[in-house]
Amino acid sequence: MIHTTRFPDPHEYLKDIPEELSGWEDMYPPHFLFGREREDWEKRQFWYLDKIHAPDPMPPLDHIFQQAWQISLSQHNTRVFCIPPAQGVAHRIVGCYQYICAVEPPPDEVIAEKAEFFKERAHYPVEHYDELWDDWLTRFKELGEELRNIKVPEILPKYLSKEEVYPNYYRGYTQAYELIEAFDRMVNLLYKGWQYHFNLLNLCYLYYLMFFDLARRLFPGISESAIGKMIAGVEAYMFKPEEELCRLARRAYAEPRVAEILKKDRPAKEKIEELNKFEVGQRWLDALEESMNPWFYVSCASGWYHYEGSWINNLDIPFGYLKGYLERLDRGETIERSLSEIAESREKLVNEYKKLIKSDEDKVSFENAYRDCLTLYRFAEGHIFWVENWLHTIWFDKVREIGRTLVKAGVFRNQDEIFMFNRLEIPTIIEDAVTAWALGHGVPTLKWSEKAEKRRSILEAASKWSPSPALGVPPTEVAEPFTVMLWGITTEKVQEWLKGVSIKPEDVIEIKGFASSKGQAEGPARVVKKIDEIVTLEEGEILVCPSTNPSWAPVFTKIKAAVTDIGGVTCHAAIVAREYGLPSVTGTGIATQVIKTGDIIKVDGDTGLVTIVKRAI
Amino acid sequence: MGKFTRTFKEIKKDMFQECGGKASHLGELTSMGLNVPYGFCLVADAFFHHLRENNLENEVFAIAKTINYDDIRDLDQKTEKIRSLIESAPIPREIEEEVVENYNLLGKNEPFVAVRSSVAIKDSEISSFPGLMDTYHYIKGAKTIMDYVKKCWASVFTSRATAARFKKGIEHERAIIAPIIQRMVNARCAGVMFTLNPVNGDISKIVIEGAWGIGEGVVSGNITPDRFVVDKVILEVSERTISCKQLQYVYDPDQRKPVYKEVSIENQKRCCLEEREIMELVRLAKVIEDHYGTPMDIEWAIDRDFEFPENVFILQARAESVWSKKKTEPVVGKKTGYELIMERAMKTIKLAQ
Repeated sequence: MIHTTRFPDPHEYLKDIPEELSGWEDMYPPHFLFGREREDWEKRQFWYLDKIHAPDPMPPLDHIFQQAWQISLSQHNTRVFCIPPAQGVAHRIVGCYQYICAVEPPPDEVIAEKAEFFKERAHYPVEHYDELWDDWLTRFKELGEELRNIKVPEILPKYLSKEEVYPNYYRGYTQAYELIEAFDRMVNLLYKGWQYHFNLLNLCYLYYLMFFDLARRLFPGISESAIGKMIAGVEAYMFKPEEELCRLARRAYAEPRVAEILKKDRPAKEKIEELNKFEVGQRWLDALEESMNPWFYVSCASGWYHYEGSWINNLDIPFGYLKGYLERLDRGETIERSLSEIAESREKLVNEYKKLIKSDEDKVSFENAYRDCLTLYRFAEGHIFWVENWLHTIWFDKVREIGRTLVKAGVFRNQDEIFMFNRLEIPTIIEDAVTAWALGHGVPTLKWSEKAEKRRSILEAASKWSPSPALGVPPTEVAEPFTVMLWGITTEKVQEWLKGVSIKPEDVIEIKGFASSKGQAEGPARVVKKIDEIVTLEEGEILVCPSTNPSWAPVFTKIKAAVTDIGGVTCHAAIVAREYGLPSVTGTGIATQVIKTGDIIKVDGDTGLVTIVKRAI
Repeated sequence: MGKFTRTFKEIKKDMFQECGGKASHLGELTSMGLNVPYGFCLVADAFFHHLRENNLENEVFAIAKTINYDDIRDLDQKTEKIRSLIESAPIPREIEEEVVENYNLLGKNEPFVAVRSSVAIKDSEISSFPGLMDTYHYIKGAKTIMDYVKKCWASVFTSRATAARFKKGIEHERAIIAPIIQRMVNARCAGVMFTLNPVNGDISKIVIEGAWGIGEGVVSGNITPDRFVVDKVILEVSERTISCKQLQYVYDPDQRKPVYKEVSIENQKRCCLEEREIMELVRLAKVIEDHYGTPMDIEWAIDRDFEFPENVFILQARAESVWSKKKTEPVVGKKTGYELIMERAMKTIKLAQ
């Protein structure tokens, strides 16, 4: 087998983008494209496909989250905490796929300069974590509510109504301005929310790496999953949606009539109608209503794409889980995961490792490192519910409100066409729409809807294309904490990717990822790329997916093992797999490309190896 | 308690001056309630009784005194002479009677046993020395056992053992040998485990090595074993190497001794241990290490005649000798969280090209 030692040159690679994708460049802001002006710099860097945040081709408006985090993550490394050798993470788009790159460390004198600032900023958050978190959550909830409360005009009215103009009070501006302002404010708030997202996150990852290194020095062969187990599951927010479902299931179980309805094979909407017909049912619905805000503002997948949906607007998903919980209660099983048990077993684990350390001085360091890491890691787990789930759900709803208004204004044929335009284009579309309205002839100048259609077909074509896992020259060193921990960029990973460059997906029989939950399992694979495919999953199958998030947890009672493209040992799939005692291998990079539904695969959660035993015919 | 024998139940760990190192460990492991193949040992005095009763005591040690250690031929010839004196003399009846009595208690119809040496040095903490016969496997019948007991005694005077004592200034009279007669495990597979990773000293790991047949093949290095590295705390197998095990060391009924035989093609690349057996070994290793309070080196075997978990046997345990002797210097030293994060923040991760 011929192994190449480098990935395609990014500029050369642009020529390999399939023809069906032509026009993709127009979908994104120009500074996200590889360009001749900065070719020298771009060629020197290592660009890898960001499968964590962008496993699918990027719809232009969903790109906003990426735009926001490029700034926020980077500035918290470089300007806020001043992590000495760490620079930012740069983005590029190639054929609708997002590539990212940890910028090479700065010169030594800059590192020294940053160290002076870092020294004063690095430990304060550990010492004041509780108050900082309270402050963060207060700020964040306010921001989310502000976003939710932005008023988007439902229509551009033919004439302003009597109540809106003299002799009644006239506020001085119309729905035209209101629409312009609404979108601008939404974008600003989303950007601000993403500023908050990284308030403590960079330090979280740095502390995690600090503890990781220390553990590796004391126990040279300690596995990533052992370290993950000592840290993970520390913050309750990510378990909350599932906990609420368990509570609702218990409540329904106590009322056989409610339980009977919930166990039926019918859409959630019909179940709700039926429950509404009697008092006990109504009371259960009240309890549901209460849980929904905020706990059903959880994405059905990653939270990064508009088409994923959230529980709140896909009630069939949580209702499906409720049905599963009720059936388990019927069988006399426990459905809840006990957080205190998780905490207890974590503590037991840490104490056992501590007992193994011979020197008392090392023990002190271990305790200090662990305590600090655990304190800050709560942020890593806590923020995900609030940002990627709660805030994004509100954002998507709000964007669709604008979409509906633009449909009524004759710009779009359906509300989701708005997602086919990036956040810099939408103000132009809004302006075009309101200008037409203001002018009085009522017809927008451009055929936005046709353009949306064209872009949709480009994205469709892109989803059939498998771009190179990386471009450019692999680096000799990495200092950026997210790159190491979140994306798991290691020598082995890069080698694995290089292997992928020289082999066709159908020839791969073995893939490697993080051994994130112990045990072995063999069985038929079920490749689930989108949440709506999850209904096809059958008992005893092995789930193969890009990544999972808290809303997938109930699926884990059905499956034998889990394999993901992305995520390390502390990712959601790994945590849940460990709790259900299922083997899992995460961060394989290519599992969903290489494995097909029906293939018999073997998952070794101890070694991180996934073997394709037999291909489906 | 016999005059010349001690059963494993009667042996405690501080009895190595009487029973030698290996037997005292086996007695200790037995008293811990572990699954050790049952057996007994001849006490140190039995050897001297044998010499005295056969009027060999003076002669043996007199010859030993005349050895010229610079002359390998002289060393070889004289030690061979001593060994033949020991082996050709009849074992005193009172010793034989006790051995037969104890042997019959190990099982009906003359069960297979292993005859092993257990040694010490009088008035010394040393409980092992090199050059001794280690273990004879698949021995059957009282008469044969007596022959191997004598071989075992005689091995105190192999050239290597004799020279080693001389080099360390230990008088030959101080050598203690207590042959062990222990029920043979009908090993499906066997091997060794360490309660730390001998490669890097990682104290959070248990390393198990095993192959088909009895453990001799693994210990001698003649067979490349399967290898498992298991985390002591979270009990996950972090490394699993299944080697191609072409040979196994097993009993051959025709030759009446264990020999190296080909392993069937389908078993060569098959893992020699079941998952639950690995976990049971890990559990036992942890119990033994906790009991002794120091990293241990343990021999084990899986018996094909028993059901799990009764099939998992511990054959021997001794203190690990390399890493546990190193001084326990702090690896990191005493540092605050602040100091640690400052150190980490300056670091970059090197990636190999």
